[in-house]
Amino acid sequence: MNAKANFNLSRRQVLIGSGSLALAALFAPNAIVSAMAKAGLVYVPNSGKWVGTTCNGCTSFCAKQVYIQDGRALNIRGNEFSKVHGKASCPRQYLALQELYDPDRVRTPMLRTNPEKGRGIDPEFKPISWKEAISLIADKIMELREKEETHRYVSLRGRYSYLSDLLIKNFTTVVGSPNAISHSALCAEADKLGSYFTEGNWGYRQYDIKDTRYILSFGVDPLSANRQVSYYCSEWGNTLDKAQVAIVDPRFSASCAKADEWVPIMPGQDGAMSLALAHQILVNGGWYRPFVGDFIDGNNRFIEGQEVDPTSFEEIHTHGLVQWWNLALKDYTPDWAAAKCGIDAEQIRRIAGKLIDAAPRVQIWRSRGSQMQHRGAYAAIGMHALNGLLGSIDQEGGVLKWASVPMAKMPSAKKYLDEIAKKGLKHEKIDRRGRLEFPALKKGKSGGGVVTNAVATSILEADPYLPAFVLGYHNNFSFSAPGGLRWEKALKKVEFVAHITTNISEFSWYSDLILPAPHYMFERWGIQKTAGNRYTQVSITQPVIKPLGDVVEDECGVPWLIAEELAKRGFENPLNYIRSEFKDPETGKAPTSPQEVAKYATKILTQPFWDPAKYKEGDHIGGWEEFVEKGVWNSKPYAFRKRWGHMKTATKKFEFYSETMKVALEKHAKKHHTDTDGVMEATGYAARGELAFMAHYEEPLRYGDLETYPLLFVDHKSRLSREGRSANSMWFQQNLDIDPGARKHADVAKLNPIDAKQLGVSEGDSIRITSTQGSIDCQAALFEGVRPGTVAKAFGQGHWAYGRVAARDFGKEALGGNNNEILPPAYEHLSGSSAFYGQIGIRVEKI
Amino acid sequence: MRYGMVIDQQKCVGCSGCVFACKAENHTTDDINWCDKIITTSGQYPDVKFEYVSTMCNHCDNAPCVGACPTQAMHKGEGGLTLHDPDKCIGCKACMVNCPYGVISFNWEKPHERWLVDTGVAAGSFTSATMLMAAGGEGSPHSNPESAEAYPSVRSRGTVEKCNFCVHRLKAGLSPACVDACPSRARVVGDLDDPASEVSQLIRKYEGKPLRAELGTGAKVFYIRSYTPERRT
Amino acid sequence: MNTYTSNPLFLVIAAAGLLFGGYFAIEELFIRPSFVTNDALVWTLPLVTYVFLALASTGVSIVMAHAELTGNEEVNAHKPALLVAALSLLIGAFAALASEMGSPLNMFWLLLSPNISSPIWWMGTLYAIELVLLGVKLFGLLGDKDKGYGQSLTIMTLVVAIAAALVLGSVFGTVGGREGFSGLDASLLTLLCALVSGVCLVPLLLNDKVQSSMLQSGRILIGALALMLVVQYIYLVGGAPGELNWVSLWMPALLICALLIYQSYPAFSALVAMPTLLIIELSFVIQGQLIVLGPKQTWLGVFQSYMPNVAEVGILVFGCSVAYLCFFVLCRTLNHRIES
Repeated sequence: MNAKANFNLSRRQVLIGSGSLALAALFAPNAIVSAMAKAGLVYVPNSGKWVGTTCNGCTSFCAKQVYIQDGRALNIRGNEFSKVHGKASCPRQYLALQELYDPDRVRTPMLRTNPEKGRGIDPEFKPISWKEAISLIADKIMELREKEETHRYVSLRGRYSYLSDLLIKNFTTVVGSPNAISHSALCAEADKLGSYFTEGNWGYRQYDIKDTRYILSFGVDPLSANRQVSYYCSEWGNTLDKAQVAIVDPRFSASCAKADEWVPIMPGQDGAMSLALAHQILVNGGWYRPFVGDFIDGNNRFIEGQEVDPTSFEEIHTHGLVQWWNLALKDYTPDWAAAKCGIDAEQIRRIAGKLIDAAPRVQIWRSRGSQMQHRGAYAAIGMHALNGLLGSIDQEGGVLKWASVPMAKMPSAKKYLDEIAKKGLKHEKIDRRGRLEFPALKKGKSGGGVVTNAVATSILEADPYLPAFVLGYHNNFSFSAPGGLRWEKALKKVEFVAHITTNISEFSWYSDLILPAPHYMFERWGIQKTAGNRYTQVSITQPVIKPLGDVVEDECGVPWLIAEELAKRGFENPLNYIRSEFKDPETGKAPTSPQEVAKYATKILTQPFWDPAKYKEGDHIGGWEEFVEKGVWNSKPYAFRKRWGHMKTATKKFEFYSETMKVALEKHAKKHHTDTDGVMEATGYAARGELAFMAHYEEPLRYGDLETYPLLFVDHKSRLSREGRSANSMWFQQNLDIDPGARKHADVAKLNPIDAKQLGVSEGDSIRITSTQGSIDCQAALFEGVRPGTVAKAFGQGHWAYGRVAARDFGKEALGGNNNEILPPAYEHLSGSSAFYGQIGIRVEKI
Repeated sequence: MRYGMVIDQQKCVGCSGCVFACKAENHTTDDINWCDKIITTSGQYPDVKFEYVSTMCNHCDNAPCVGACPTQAMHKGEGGLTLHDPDKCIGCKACMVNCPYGVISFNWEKPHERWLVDTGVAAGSFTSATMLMAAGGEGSPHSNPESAEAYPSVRSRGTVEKCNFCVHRLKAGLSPACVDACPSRARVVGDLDDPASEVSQLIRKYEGKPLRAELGTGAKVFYIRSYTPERRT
Repeated sequence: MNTYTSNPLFLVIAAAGLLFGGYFAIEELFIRPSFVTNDALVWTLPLVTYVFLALASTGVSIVMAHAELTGNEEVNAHKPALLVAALSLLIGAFAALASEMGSPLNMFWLLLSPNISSPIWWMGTLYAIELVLLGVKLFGLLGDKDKGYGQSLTIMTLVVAIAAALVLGSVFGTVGGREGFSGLDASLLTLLCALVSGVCLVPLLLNDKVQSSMLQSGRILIGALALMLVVQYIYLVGGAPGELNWVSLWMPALLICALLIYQSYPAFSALVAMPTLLIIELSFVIQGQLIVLGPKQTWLGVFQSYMPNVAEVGILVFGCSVAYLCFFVLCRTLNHRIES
């Protein structure tokens, strides 16, 4: 096969090999070359094919086109049919090419032969066949079924597409386990909480930067990370013609370089600044009256420290402004905030003035860093409340919701549950969601969200129980979750761990079985959604090249293979489910292979976009073939102001006093026979009484005392890191210096020269960073763009596995140090989010 | 016809998409970027300034590298491009010393040698050699047969190389890879001799200047506007 | 002919040097890069070895031609040794250069595809001509045909040698984008270095104290170089924009020492002067490259520092050994021919 493929793939090599032709070409280029062009022997630029697919390198989920020439993926661009970003893209997309052709990729299934698990201990993986691998999995599942312990099967989901609901959710359910655990709580659930409890949107936002006049970003570095980097990169320079930008961040980010103002705030104090801004906006009478309303007599009674009579103010599309003022805001002056934020009161007043002047064409952005903190929920609500005050919700130049899209649902597996499965599903979920201390209030529902990082603790404490079989899918929690070492210990305790992965990662290292994953951009089917430029798009991933190595469609194909094996062992429900529910919607044909399940599942979920008979809105697409050709469907443009008065909150209004939160917390409290104060206490919040229902100040919890850990750690994203998966690329390593303050091929901690001098640390020194959680070694980079007293370091390096470029010594020694080894496994409990940020005390020593 | 480029620094967001697009197009090694950048960090906390200037061969009208090259390996080609013929290159590096812009690179090692390694991280993993065999490609799986029509995909050790404005793409009526790749549309390529071309208009409108204009090299990559916003605070 | 060709210790050292340096030359040429070069610091000790030996050869040629033209019999008497020395030094120079340039076959393109605006092309061509001229002279000497065209050949050798030294300087002096190189002073420096090499090396070949005829011009030249360095130093200390101060005062100081003992202890004088010249040349060539230009700054930093590694020192040893062994072999051949 290889020889043949080689012949096909390198016509030019063959050509060069034939010396006479090459020589002839040298002396008579024109005639020969044109003859060769006719014969297809010369490569005319752009004579290859651009094939639509989707990038899964970050949560921007851009629709892409991959350039295929000679059967190889050579280049990538934004999908020209996307109305969100068009051909625009970001630098991370190219690193996917190096992920695809990564020489350290897993080629075939592998089984551990060394029972001893540990860092630096070679698992001695030996290649096995897919048949052997799947048999092993089926045996393990049957074992659990026989013992009626199916809940001890746990599936963990990392980076995924909508198709993963088959592998992770529905397959797990049919098998009889409640434990379909997503990574979402490592992602940004606290962010969604902020908009849910104000405007009823458990989701992300898009920002209309084309028409805005002022952008205030709390920690968001839109040119590097967060959602729709491609779109924001494409428009940012034009936005600067019309709008001013201020970025609040302890670290000078790439976006700060393209902003008017950098506000180097004290970590963990974003909430304080947002409250002071709200205070000042009200005192200055700067709220947006058509949205918020006004005093009945038009006289502003918001005076520092003075309560206001609620009946004197008539709100229009908002709820509870005066209560918010009376209970919280009236005392949050810029001078009060200045001491906490380390930002001049004057600067806060000035920014408030700018916001007022530009309203409602303003947008308050909020990042992971400003809200995924132990006490970050109310900061999230407070920052978002500014958008409400300034009337920028759903406005031109303001903050918009993602348009909802008519995607079809993954066929339910409920019909296929047998008694064993039903019994298994009754067990408590392994992530402790819904316990008093973990409300995980997704969409206001107690235990509705996920507490991803609690799984490791559950395993270590065998509470609620010890899993027997963990299947990890495209996740690397021992690398990506705070307190990562806990995962390494936890995985050692689990009897059988299987991992679907492209690379032998820090998670795979503790696995017993490794299954090679297709690359999630080039080699399999998938579906993603993103929004920007007022559009929401749904794009597909499809196999654009012949897969490398012995890979199987992961999200749909692997469950099919396991289902087949289970059926052979007498447990037919999973196979029946897949066979009956995943028929080709065009032909009605039942799937017969992993590839077909994946393709049909894609067709089923996207049918409303490509099947004219099911057309609802947005792009008109003539059929499946056209959809595959284009690779993307766009919604109609987002309609401004449609939600005003119709928000999905308890009051249908934008809530400054969150009745929605009140309902959610009271329900959760009732479940645990306590009151909301009891919930506040259990979740680590200081607020009592009604403060729990509105944005208020919460003193950040400092991890580590000031004396032992005098500095604060600031974790952030690198422009080139594809969620930690691109570190094995030389293109990544050699161009890391595009991040302000970073260095090539190094894992640097950025120190302000003032601190460095005090510590006796020079540029390039090896340093050790120690927190209450642990220590990592890395390299010091002196950078004026970090707030003195803080140390900023990008996530993404510090791999000791993953590959020979990523690790200094594969399996043994890390290149730098992984931030998650020093981050404590803290949570923002109301959302279940892991708290990567806030006040993480550290000390730095030269080594 | 004189090819030139304009880079709008206000539009540029410093993402380095141009760098990677160039690597993908021209099969440069890990350590060589034809399209590269100058990064300047200045100022003191909290008044910090970070500037990204995308650089590549300026295709100077009075190219010092061409003047210095003893063998005409570095030469002026069609459309005023500064091109390199690696067959004539004797590796004397005079072009590198003479280039005032630091955009010429030398192949100190045999390029893409790491793709010959035939050991893997585990028994069931690929190796560089097996990956190259499975993927195909000349030298590495990232080799591009289209650019190889204009310049060898795998360079010889001991020769220099640099940006050729994607001459193979220009000839086919396409823009250089870096231009097409720029998400911010900060780069425009065109004919400097044509006063109506977009490049000429932009240079006039914004008083575009090349790098180190004082040297009189006739550099043809022009920069307009400022990377850093005016700091309107 | 004289002691320097028959001293077995010198021969053993040279042979060992050939092996030691040859190892690195072969490694660099055929196996892997072993120098401390990078994309901003491309010319280091191996190239400076070429410069050093080529200028030394030029210097000897100039002194020899000058003596011939002025009828300086004290020097003329040792013409074969001088000729062989000039030739050997040049061969040593080319040997060092070959290791630096990747492939010796590359030289082929200098002829096939010349660029006459390139100082390197002129330098290569002039030194190639110089090599031929010296070869012709040697051939003439062997055949004792040093009669009819002697005078014109000598003039040609002199002109080519001076031109070569000047052009070698212009390789650096014409670099517009680097303040440290740019300017006429580069050519003046290389010419003076060549002349000082000549006046210091020739007395060694005369097997005697420095002849009165050479004394004055020798002192003047050494003094002129020292003066030039002092002037450079003062200029650079003043903080010329974009330039690093590469001159240290010990350089002219050592030259003055060499000058003072020039008459009485020519061998010691040469022993002081020649390494000083090497370091002057090295410092000059390196300084122009220490400020990194353009995007290479992101790879190498804004400023670099330089310290040769063992492989580069190996090339220096290699070049010198080749030169000495050539000298030895050619002298032997010449002696043999003359005796027979």
